[in-house]
Parts: sequence; structure tokens; C-alpha cells
Amino acid sequence: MDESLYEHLKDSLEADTPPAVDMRIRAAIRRSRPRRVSRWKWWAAAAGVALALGCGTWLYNREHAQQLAAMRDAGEVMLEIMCMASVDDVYNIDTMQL
Amino acid sequence: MQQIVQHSDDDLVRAFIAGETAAMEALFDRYRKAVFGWLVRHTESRSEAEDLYQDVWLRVIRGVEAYTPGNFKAWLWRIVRNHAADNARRKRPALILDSPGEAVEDGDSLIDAIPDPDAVHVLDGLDVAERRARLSAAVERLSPPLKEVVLLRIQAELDFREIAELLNRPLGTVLARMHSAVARLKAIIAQEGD
Repeated sequence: MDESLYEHLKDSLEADTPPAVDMRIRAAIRRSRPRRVSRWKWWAAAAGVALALGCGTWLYNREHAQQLAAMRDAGEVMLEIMCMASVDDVYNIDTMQL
Repeated sequence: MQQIVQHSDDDLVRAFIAGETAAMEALFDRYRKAVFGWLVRHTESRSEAEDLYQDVWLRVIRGVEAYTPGNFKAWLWRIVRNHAADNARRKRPALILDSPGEAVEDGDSLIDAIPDPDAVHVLDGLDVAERRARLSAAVERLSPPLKEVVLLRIQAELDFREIAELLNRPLGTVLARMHSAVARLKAIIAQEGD
């Protein structure tokens, strides 16, 4: 298309934008918070998750070890009781029988 | 802000996504007049155009994260056009059919077929306001398919390939419509000048 008609048309088709609507749109832009986070925030989030997992695992293992130790101690006591009881029983039975 | 104005559309989108809201304001300033002017022409109602104008920009602000860098202008105009079409469908369900007999052949050669100026010198003698009014009225007299191509080419400053993609029409059809529109505009202007 010739430049003259193009320029004339471009000039004639321009419309002034409504200031009140422009203000509302600008306010919406300023209020907007794009959800995509920057790269360092991704790294920080990943490090946080890794730290939380590490701490959780350590705590779980410690707790589990304590439980095992307690069970072992309890088992030993039980064993002793059971053994003693059986010895006594044997003894008693034997005594009674004797 | 002065530096922001120099950046490409894609740079501004990235800056906005990174949290710099001034970048989106720069994009808004870059395209707001064209978008509003197109909507006013398209709807033929300033109040309706104002509502659509606000909705379009809110859609852009909310949806820009989904934009894949490449051609922001085409992406923006797709939103503008789709939103205007949705609005028109809500108002009155109607089909806009292509006028019969339009050329549909492909090829850039048709660009050269657009006529040279000869009838527009009549505008040069007019003052700005009268020239605007006359051209504006002439554009209004174009059929919807021709008017759409003129507005997308001149107001939206899309190239013919982008318009063809946006309208989902062959390039040849778009060029033929522009050719017809220019010829029609010149005829209207010349007719009114007599």
C-alpha cells in the first residue's frame, strides 16, 4: 500500500484510550504477582526440602535406634525373667517331685 | 523506565515474570492505543470497547506466564480478537461468511499487486480532523472481512503472514482482501471528494 494512504489511515484509526480504565489496568499490573519464581528461589526451595528430608531421616533413625535398644533391654530382662522363672519352676517342680 | 522502553517484547515479558511490574506497563504503553482503537472499530461502541479493553489486558496480565517467547504481538492480537469474537457471539450468534469470489491463491506476488496511490491526493488538501473523519467513515463502509484485515495490518501493525495465521486463512486470501480494501477505500474517498 502506498505510504500516504497508510499514514493517513493509521492517523485516522488511532483512538485515545479511556484514562479511568488505563488507571485500573495499571493498578492491576502493579498488584500482579507472577507465579513463576526466579531460579535462586527454586534452589532455595530444593535445599530446604533436602534439609528437611535429611533431618527427618536422622531423627527417625535415632528414634528407631532408641526403640531397638529399649526393646533389646526389655528382651534381655524378659529373657532373664523367663529363664529364672523356668529355673525356679524346674527347681520347684523338682523339689515338689522330690 | 527509559531503558525498559528500548527492550524487545520478549525481554519485557521475562522481566515481568521475574517480578518487574514496570515491564508490563511498558508493554501496555506500547500496545494500548492500537488495541483500544481496534476494539472501538470492531465493536462500534466506545463503552463496549472500554469493557473489552480492560478484560483483554487483565487476560494478558494473568496469562502471560503461559506465553512462549517468540511473537508477543501476534499472541496479544490473538487474545484481542478471540475476546472480541467471544463477546460478539454472546451478543448475537451470527456467521460472518467470506464474500464469494475472493481470491484464495497463495503467494507473495499478490503483495506487488496492491495498487499504487493515485486517488488519495484528495486527502492532502483537508485539515486533520476532516481527513480523520472521512477516512474513518470510509473504513466503516468496508465489509467486515475487509475491515478486519485493514485494522490488523494498519492498527495492529501485523504483517500479512501473521494476519493469515491469526485469521486461519491462506496468505493469498489476506492479500486479496487487503487489495480489495485499498481499492474500495480509494473509490470511497474519490467518490466523496467529487
